Amino acid sequence: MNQGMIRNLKYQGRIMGEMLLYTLLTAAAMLVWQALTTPLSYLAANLAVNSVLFLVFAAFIWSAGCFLAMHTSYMPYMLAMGTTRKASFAVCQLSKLGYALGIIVMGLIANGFIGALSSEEKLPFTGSIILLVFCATIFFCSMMEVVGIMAKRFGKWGMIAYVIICMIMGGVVGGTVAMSGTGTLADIAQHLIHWSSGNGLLFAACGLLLLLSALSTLLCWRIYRKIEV
Amino acid sequence: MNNVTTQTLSCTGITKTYGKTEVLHGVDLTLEKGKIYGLIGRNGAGKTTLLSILTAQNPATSGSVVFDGAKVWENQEALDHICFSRELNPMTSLGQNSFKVKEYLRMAATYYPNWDNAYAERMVKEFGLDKKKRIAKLSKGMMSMVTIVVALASGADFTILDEPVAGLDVVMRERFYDLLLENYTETGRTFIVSTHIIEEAANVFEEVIIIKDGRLLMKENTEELVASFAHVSGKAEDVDAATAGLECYRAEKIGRSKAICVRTKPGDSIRKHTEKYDLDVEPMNLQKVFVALCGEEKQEAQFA
Repeated sequence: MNQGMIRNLKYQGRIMGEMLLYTLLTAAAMLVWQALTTPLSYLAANLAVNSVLFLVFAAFIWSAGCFLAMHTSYMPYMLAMGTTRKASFAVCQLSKLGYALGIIVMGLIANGFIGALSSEEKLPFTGSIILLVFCATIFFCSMMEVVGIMAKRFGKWGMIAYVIICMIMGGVVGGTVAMSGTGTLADIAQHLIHWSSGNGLLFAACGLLLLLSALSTLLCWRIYRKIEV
Repeated sequence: MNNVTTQTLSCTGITKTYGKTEVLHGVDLTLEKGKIYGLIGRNGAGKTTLLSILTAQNPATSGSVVFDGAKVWENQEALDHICFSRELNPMTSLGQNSFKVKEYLRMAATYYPNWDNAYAERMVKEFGLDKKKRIAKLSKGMMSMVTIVVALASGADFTILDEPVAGLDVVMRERFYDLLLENYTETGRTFIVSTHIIEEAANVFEEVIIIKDGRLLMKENTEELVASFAHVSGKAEDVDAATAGLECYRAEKIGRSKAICVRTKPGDSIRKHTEKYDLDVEPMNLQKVFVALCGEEKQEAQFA
């Protein structure tokens, strides 16, 4: 492995480590908030169900911040300090992988630890769910990377596009929850996952997420390889 | 790569175009190891663009940059010998300006293979920099100090500083030149310093590179360049006669008097041309030479 890769692994690895820590702390804060606002009789069950969900939400929040900033903040500075585009970009992709794996590990720990507090059915963090969370995390990181590089390349128009996408997605999710009648995103997620894992659609969805991630990575590379610092 | 004593960083036929505008036109430049170069040019001349291309931070539209015969672009081995410490922009709150000083320096320590942490710490202390402060919150002078710390502590064989003294008070500017010379004397590194405060830095520059309108106007020994110029003034017909056939710049005519900047060829002396006439001949400094070469021609003064 060349020196450029090693330096980037050192630096970007540190960033990812910090992101994982912040993700864990954010998920823990959400759990604490839930613990304070839930009746004691339902507490253990709610924590068990939501521990993984909160972790996934926290992962999306922090990966948005991190990978958005990757091309607007971190990568230009890495280039300014003499790294190559290939090395920094390659390690960025490895960082996504590392981050997703970190989320999985934390999810397994959370699922085992908090899930043990309750005998109620919890969101099972097993095989297909793990795959879905992994693929979704990679996909989300990739999308944020695209937004980040668009913001770097096209300035404020990239950020405006990001805000519009967030508005649409937020509206879609909020509308879906409201119209479902079940009341919570966790319930919808559970229903969707149970339904799709039974008929193979879950695996197709994971494949699609990875394909879209790969395509977005190619797009980012096309822009990044000639980016100006 | 070649041994240390013969290292060169050079570019050939560098052009850079933004949209339909060509900002660099076929620049050829060779920088040798063990010198302090001054890079001067007017605002928008293309200095920073050229420097960013030399250091592979921006791609050239055409041309090539080589370090010791090897292409610099995407070549980590070559880039390890180069440091371009850019001017930090106080107007930007994103990017590196969102970092704290200590994070910035930690990053530099990771990416520069020859980083001298003890030296960096010493300079941070000497400059009174607060490492916990965000770069965006620093004054312009403090930002300049951060770029100086990074440049000098990087230990790179070819170190480029873009406007390092911007915002520094005169005491700190003098200190910077002292540090630069100290470092140069100890290490023999090559420094390329881009600055608008020409006269202060002139004593430090072994060679001066002048960029004008995206072209390399000249790259010459500073002392020899300055010595070749003179300011000649007197009666207009005498000035014209004395300076006939010489390179003349920035003629100023006031009534029947005329003043002009003149360049003589190596080995020639302006005195030989002016001794027959009653003319004032004054030496010029680097700043005046630069203004003569790159300033606009003055209009003739009119009196009613």
